[in-house]
Amino acid sequence: MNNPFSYKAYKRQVIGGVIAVFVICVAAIFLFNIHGYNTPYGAPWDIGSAAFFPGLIALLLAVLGIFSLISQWQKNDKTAQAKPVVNKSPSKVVISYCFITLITLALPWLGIWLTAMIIVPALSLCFGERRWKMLLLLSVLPPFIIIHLFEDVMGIYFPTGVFF
Amino acid sequence: MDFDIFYQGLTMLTNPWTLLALSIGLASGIMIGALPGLTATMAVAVLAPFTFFMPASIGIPFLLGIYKGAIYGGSIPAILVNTPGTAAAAASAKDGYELTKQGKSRKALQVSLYSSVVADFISTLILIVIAIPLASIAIRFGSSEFTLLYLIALTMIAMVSGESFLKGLIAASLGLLISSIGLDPMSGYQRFTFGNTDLLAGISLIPLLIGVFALSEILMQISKPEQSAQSTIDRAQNNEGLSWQEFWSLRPTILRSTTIGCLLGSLPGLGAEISCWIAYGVARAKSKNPKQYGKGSLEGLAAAESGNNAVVPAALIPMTVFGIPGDTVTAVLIGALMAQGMMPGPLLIQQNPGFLLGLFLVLLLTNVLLLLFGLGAIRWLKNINQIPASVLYPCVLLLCICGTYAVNSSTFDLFILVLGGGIGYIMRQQDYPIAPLIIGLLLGPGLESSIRQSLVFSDGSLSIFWTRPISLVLLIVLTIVIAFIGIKIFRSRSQSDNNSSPNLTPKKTEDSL
Amino acid sequence: MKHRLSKLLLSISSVTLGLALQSTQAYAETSHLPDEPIRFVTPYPAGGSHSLHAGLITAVGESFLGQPLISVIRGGGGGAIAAAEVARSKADGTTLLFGDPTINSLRPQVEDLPYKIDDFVAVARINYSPAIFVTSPNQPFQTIKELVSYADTNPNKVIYSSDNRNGFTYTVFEILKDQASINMRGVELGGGGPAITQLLGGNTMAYAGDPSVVGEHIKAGTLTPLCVTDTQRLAAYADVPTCMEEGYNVVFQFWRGILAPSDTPEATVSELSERFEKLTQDPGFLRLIGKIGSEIQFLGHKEFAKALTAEQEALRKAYIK
Repeated sequence: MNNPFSYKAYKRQVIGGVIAVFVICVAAIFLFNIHGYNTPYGAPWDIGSAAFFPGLIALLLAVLGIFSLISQWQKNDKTAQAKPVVNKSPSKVVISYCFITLITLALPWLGIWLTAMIIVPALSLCFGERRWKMLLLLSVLPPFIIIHLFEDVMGIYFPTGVFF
Repeated sequence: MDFDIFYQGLTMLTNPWTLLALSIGLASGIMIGALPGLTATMAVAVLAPFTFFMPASIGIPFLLGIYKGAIYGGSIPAILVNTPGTAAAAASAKDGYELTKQGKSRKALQVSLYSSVVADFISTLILIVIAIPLASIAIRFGSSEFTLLYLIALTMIAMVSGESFLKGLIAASLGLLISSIGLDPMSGYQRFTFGNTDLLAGISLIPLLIGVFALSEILMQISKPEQSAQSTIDRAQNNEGLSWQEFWSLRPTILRSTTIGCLLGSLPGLGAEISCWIAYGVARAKSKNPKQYGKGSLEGLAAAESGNNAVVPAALIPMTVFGIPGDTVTAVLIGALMAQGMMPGPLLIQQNPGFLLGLFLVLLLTNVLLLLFGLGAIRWLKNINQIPASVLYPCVLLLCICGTYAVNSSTFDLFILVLGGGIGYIMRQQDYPIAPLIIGLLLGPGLESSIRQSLVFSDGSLSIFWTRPISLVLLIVLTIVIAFIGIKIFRSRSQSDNNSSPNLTPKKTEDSL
Repeated sequence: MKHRLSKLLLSISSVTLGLALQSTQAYAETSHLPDEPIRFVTPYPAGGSHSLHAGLITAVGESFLGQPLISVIRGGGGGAIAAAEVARSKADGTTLLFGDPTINSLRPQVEDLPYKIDDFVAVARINYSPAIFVTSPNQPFQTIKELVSYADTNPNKVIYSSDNRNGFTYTVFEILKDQASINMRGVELGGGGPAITQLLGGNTMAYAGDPSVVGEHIKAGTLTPLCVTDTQRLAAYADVPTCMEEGYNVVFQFWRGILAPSDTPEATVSELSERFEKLTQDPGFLRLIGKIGSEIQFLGHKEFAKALTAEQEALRKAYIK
């Protein structure tokens, strides 16, 4: 574990395992729902019922998840090493993603104008844009064009938010 | 009499207003298709009421122009920024964007345009010549035939899974499972909604698609250092166009995909979204160098694009012959035709053959216009990756947010967008293929309901799948396809047996198919 | 010359501006309507007859309501999503639902949906259309009586195209089965398009649908009409009997109507009702409605509310015994 490559490969393997567990959990939630109290969607093993098809797929997914977990276990470091790890700055991605999520989900309250005017320059900042004039331009021009395109040309209106 | 019909058709073609309406429709269609979230269905539905005030010879070509333009336009952002503008362009993103990354965006755009136009042209000729016999076969397709068709389509997962079949299967099952969320139309059960009202409608496909493709691409771009170096490479190689020889070598692929698109399009209910994947999968199976697929193959792009564009004229077949919508866009078109006092169907052919002929001629003309418009657009679009990433991607993000909201006017869809973005990013980082997820999502509802409908038809007996003649043929095709894929996987496994860990794939094939 | 033209233009624009100002003032004085755009929510995806009607209403709506009428197409869950959303929205007349009997009368009573019947107050009914029972010409039955006797001697052998569970077609067939005490099998195909395809392709034996869906096939002779689920014959299909004439009490009128959240003030509701009545009398609107093969059977808010209660009562009796 002392050379950087095998450390990354190890990390990759762990993430792969976490995903496999996650897949199994998703399948389990669906399976519990189908087979659970009162079998809410009809008999799970009757082909004509609403429960059969998702039940079958969820079972398949669970089995596949277990296989995936086993294969992560068995995987030797060689295969993982062969692939170069592209991601150089995961924390930047996580921060950007959280920010995008936050602003996007706040759209009903912020309103389309505020959302657009915050998210465009902010993402540009993430991409390394530092000229404040450019950021100012980005906060005005793209939102103006895009929102007018949707609202006035296409007739699709967005929430105006609580501030207007 | 016959000459009269022909003359009437020609006058429509030579009417300058028709041409103008067609051009405007086509241009706006390309633009709408290129914007993520705005689909052909929505564009036609939004603009249809305006055509009520126009004469039929102007209004209907206008809508047809939008329809064709939108299906083509979806491929542009798919190629340039890995953001399919419509679901039908998802398969084009796979190889198209790889080509852009290699600095061959101009070539990719040209392949997409030429194969779209060729496929559309051939398909339109088929519509004109054999619409009626084709439609009378297509209408015999019942639920059991559709079930088998969906299963054949599902086997394409093996073709698009890339290196790991296991990961492909996981992605596909996840897609199928997600697609079962929501109100079940047959039983009325609210499945997996966990008491959430928004989940009643299920997970909307387009927001998820935008998230998985576009948002995850933006996240990938953020994590990538040294943007500037990359774009200079692009600039240097940007002018390389498509040579005639390259295009000529794509001929069998395009013809095959056109046939597939045409056949699927003429079946009511199977749209361009599904046909592009089948065309892509078949092209890969038939290809001499399948390894190239997913890594910037011109063949793959041509197959996907001709596969989805061939559907457009073919979807008009059930509409013109029986008055049945071939897909959601034609459903809106039927409404627009009705508003003009012309109900498509058997009566239109008898009562208004001149108009119908004019419409067919207009369809052929649309292809010529599409070629011209496309060439004009490519001149500008090839420069799009000279825009710095710090300007391009924020704008793409805003377009995605607006487009997502526009689909259903729903804020819950925004949640699906960001969730899809996160899932897509993790999948890419871990080499999970995205295509099977999309195929699963697309096929899930149709597959499930057609199986259950078949069982209602047969009163619970599975014999319906082999007692009907067309079903039997399809069942044999399905068996051959599965055997073919099984052999291929077995071979590739025994080839790579010594250098990779034991794989469980061949055993799983039967379960999934 | 140029000078005169610009003067003329100026005077015209000032007159129109003045008129516009006056009219908004007139609205402001007496109106109980909200002073912001009104959202007109269509609960089905684009492409059906519902969204076609909504498109026409919203296209001309502004000049009658004094506010822009924004068409919001919010499909999903067979209409339940949009209904739940409107039910939860602010009750001041800014959000209206373009409802129908399955959303507003039937499904909240028989399914566990996130809204209730009482969440809505009736504003105006625009029109209704009955269903026409149809079959294809090569079936062993060509009248509704023959269908019933065939189904009686061959129980569970008649397969018909249905739309969705508790949908329009589903419901009329349930009523027919109940009235004639016969057994038939319905295949839920998810909509009118696939339903009619399966009938034409010979996979199913009967269907019941909106005149706009089956009408052209009846005229072309590719489908045979059996009976109409209305109290009187349709003008366009005068030789098709009503189901009641044939002895089966199957009456189901698929109305398209406007509803508001239940706490909307009485004054607002009655004013909206008046405005929509004027809209449905407009010759331009009527011409457009005629083009899509539809008519207007307007009911004001009071009559509509009465009809709605009666319908809900009847369906409750038919379904929950």
